[in-house]
Amino acid sequence: MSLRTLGLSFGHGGRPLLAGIDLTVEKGESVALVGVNGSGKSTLLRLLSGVLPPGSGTVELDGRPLARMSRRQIARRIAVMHQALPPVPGLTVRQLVHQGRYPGQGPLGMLRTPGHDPATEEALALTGLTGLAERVLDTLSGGERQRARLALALAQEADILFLDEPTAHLDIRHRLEVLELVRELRAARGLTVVTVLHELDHAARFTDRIVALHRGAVHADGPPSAVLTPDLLSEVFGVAGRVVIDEIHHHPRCIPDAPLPTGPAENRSSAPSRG
Amino acid sequence: MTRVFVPLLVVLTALLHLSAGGAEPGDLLAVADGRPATLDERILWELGLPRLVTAALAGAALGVAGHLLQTSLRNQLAAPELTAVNPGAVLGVLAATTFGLVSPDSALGGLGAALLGGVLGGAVTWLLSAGGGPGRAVIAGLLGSALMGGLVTLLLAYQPGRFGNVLRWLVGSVEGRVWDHLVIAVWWIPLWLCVAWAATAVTTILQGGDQHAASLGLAPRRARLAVLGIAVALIACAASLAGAIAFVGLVVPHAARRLTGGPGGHVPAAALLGAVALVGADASAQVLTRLIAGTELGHRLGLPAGVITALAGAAVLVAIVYREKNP
Amino acid sequence: MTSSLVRGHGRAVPPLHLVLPAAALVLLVLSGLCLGTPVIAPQRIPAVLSDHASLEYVVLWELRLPRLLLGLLGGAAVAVAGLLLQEALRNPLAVPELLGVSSGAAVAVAACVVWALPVSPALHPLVGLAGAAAGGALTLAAARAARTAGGVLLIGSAVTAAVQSLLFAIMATADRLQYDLLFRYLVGSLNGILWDQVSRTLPWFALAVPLVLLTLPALGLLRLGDEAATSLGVGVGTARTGVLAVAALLVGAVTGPCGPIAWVGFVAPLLARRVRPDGDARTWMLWTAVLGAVITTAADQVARLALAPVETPLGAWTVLVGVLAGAALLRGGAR
Repeated sequence: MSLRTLGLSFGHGGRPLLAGIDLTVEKGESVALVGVNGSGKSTLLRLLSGVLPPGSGTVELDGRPLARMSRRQIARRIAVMHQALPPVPGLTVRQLVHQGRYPGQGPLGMLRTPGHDPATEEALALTGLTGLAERVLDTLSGGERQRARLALALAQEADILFLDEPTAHLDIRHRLEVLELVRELRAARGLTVVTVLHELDHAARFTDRIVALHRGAVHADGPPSAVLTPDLLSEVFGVAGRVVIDEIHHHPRCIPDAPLPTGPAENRSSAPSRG
Repeated sequence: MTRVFVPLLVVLTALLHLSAGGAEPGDLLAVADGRPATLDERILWELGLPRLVTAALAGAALGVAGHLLQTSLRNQLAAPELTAVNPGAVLGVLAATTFGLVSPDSALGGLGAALLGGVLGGAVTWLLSAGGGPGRAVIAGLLGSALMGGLVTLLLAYQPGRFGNVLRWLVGSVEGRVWDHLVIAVWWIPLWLCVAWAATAVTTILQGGDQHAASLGLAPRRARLAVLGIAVALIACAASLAGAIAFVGLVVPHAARRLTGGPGGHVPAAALLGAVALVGADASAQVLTRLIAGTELGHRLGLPAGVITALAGAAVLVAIVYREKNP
Repeated sequence: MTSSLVRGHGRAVPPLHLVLPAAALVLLVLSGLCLGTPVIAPQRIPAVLSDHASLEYVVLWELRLPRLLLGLLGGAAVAVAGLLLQEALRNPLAVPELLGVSSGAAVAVAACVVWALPVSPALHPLVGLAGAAAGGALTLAAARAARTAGGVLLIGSAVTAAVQSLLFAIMATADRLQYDLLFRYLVGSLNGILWDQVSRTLPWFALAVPLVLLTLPALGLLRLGDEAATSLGVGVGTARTGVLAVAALLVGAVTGPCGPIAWVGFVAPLLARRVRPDGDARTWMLWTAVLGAVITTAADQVARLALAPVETPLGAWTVLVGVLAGAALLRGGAR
């Protein structure tokens, strides 16, 4: 057992975003969180990583509630790749990635190794950033920034990795590169990976398990072949479509045909405005 | 390059400052053993050197405090005088001396009063800005500073006769400080500078925002309060020595960050450049005062260092904002 | 024209909103005339005014009346200047204190007074106007580089701080007797206002009133935003410069006799917008003027009486009001 939630709920301004989530992520699993915008995927990720305190319920890491662990203890176990780089003017790639050593080394340890410790170098090498290490973050291209975010998370040397839309704003080639890299790292280091993804095909191809969130609750949970069905497309995403099997990679592919005039299923009145 | 250049600049500015005060190189060697003999040597030992040390310590403290404020509040334009901490500290010193709680020459009492005032000013800003982003902190700081200024004015009105004594705190001046004023500052400021340097990793991570800090294992609110606490300790001591010196804390950190590469060098560079800035400002204040000493105007006017830093700082600030817009 | 404004908008206002400021004004006028040492009962005012020989006549006619009059007019003027700046720059925090306008005016006038420069006191408002314009122009020129409203304010406060340190340096050369000048030019004070000062200032106010009314159409257009205003055929740059110049004139005229009445230019427009959230520039202008006069005279009476016999500077109290209002604005903005 690795990461478990019990009755996890969270609301904002009186409106519930997540209600009663019970989820267990085993060690070494790769889980994709999917759902429409506003379905609570990113919020769930932030609750799981302890960045956000839950409204009610608990998150347990190896049987210990996150609320009873210090922030640094959590950060030594869980690394998060956020959607955006921290906006720090003038920071170089190496300086940013080196910040990932903070949970392990603490403030004084960071002074002893100003940016040239093995873990930083390894994270830079794995993401192919060694040559760009002295570049200032503002000068990086979109794909390079994405890799810098990943390198920061890798430098934490945590055994659980959370990725919040790691392929957003990337072209097809860079998307595949990032997801392949995560898959290789997971195999090499035995990582547990939870990824928020918009592309259902990517979720099917690169993860073993898909959790579909719908209106703040788990709508479907299981291997891609069981979760990705035409019913899921219509109920969760509000589109009519077909699911076929990819002949080469042998994973399900979704082919959306048309948006349903009624939108996603259930209590439409409380739905966040789509658009 | 920077490693050689900045310390050299410090030494040069110090010599310039002493010679602006009228010291000769011979006197300097003669007082090196701590036993001044002639009148010139005694003037150097009892007035010139303490004035130099005051300027250096206050400048270093303000430079580093400004750096801490700018990084932890994530606002390039946060500074001791714009977050109500420095005005608050000045208010504390003035209130304590006006009501006779503290002797104007007591180092410990002055520091205590400045700390209380600085915490008060900082707390007002903190409360006003609670829940808002970096932009709101600036506006809250301006309002807090205005409040502190208003309270200072009320204090002045309470005892207008003491205005002459009070002026040096309002403009900021290092004139007339002697060794007795420095007994605490000589270890207090270096101590907190070391703490600030040790916290480099914390301030750099805080600069990346709350989410960034939280996922790297740093509780953002608590860490920010701790860093602000270090800044207040530095600012209060600087204010108890030199009053409301403006702009060193705003401008120096920018120069320090520009000159040094990694975050590890920011605090030392801010300390050294802060010292250089204030010592240099005081040296030019002394020279200018001497230049106009002949005229009837100069007879009455001793130009305080605070005027120089305010004027120079305003120019540099405008240049910084301009550069940020048109890189 | 002013009275037609009152009538034109009076119908839409709930009566209480009209009655309250009017009652406050009457009350403040009475207490401004009656309170202090000696206390003069309101019903005795006509009698005292006809008895030219009594001490009470001197106090009432030579001291309290001019002070009250300048408080009302000066408060209204500074408040309207604040509104003009805020509207022209479309920033609720663009107030004279934060743009270097007040301190620019203060340092210019203070230099004349302290160094006894050969400038007739009648021309002090002109000197103040020049200082205000210089301070404001410096800020705005530098602030063109700033991207955010916060940046503009910071540059303004930098200019203010630099100018204020000059003010301190000038003050350091003053004789002991001139200390009350410090308070006057630092935060504003109505201490020692006589008919002399009032009569020198009145022509400038008389000049400013039609100019302020002339800015009203421009304000309405500037509110639409630069692009919309341009497409309606307004020269945005010219209109804005004109409005700012009128604001500088108002601040300069007030700073001559009483210094920059701190933060009234921030609080009064703020309150005016709260009272009439649906109003336009004209309604706000009227309300701002009335509220500015009310706040200033009220603060002046606190300044006069709070620590009597010690006079406290009026501006120190208006600063407190200003910070409270600013805090409320921040709280409101957070929601």
